[in-house]
Amino acid sequence: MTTTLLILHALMAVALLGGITHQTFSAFRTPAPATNFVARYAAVSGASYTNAMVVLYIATAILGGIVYAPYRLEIRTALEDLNLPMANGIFEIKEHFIAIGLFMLPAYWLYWRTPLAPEYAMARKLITAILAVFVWYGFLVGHILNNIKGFGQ
Amino acid sequence: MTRHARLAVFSLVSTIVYVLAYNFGWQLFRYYPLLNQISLDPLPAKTSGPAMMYYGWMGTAAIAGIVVALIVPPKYAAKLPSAVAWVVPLLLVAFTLVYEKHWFL
Repeated sequence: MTTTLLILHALMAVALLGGITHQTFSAFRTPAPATNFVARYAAVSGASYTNAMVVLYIATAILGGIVYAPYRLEIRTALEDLNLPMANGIFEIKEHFIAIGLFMLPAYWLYWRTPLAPEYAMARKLITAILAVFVWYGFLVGHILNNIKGFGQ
Repeated sequence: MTRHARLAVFSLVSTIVYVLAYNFGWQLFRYYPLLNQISLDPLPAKTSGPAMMYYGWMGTAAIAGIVVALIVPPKYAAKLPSAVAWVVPLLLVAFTLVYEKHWFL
């Protein structure tokens, strides 16, 4: 059951990762004809991602919170036995980043409300970029820890 | 904006209180995964296994954010500079990295 939830958590994280990266690129994009791959990648309507990102972030965080309890009992203990404090450290930072990001979501949603207010353009860019960093960091750390000691071993 | 301005207040307060909560141990409750039990008081580690504070820190932060967001009048909430919404998280990230550096030394 835990392994199934972990895989679901990872799949939702992939969707979140893709969406928030798209939105971050779109937030930083200067309006111009999209002539290359990067410009076309960024040429999306950032605002249309907002609700989906909020739902995905919350759902991914809830699933992460559910698998955190067995992680605390089985994986963290094993990492301590293997004398891998750095692995525990990168996870501690992940849990804090994800929590801070979760609490940032109301402000993120507020500043991405349409019609987009020009005076909040900087806030939109940087809040979205910070959330993207949190999501990327959380994804990579989860992947690394799973490689060190995945569930079901 | 004014109608929803309290959302920015919630984000500001809850992110700060979350960091204060893990720094000062202000968890609303502890969760004992071995017993699948929530407790307001610490239980003996020998029989209860490790305590998880994470959910309790988030609970503390969420309640603080909701209470302050409800107290602050919307007209004042609307005056909150939007820069606060990204400057404060950046500072909290820096604090978190310093706080957790002991794992890497």
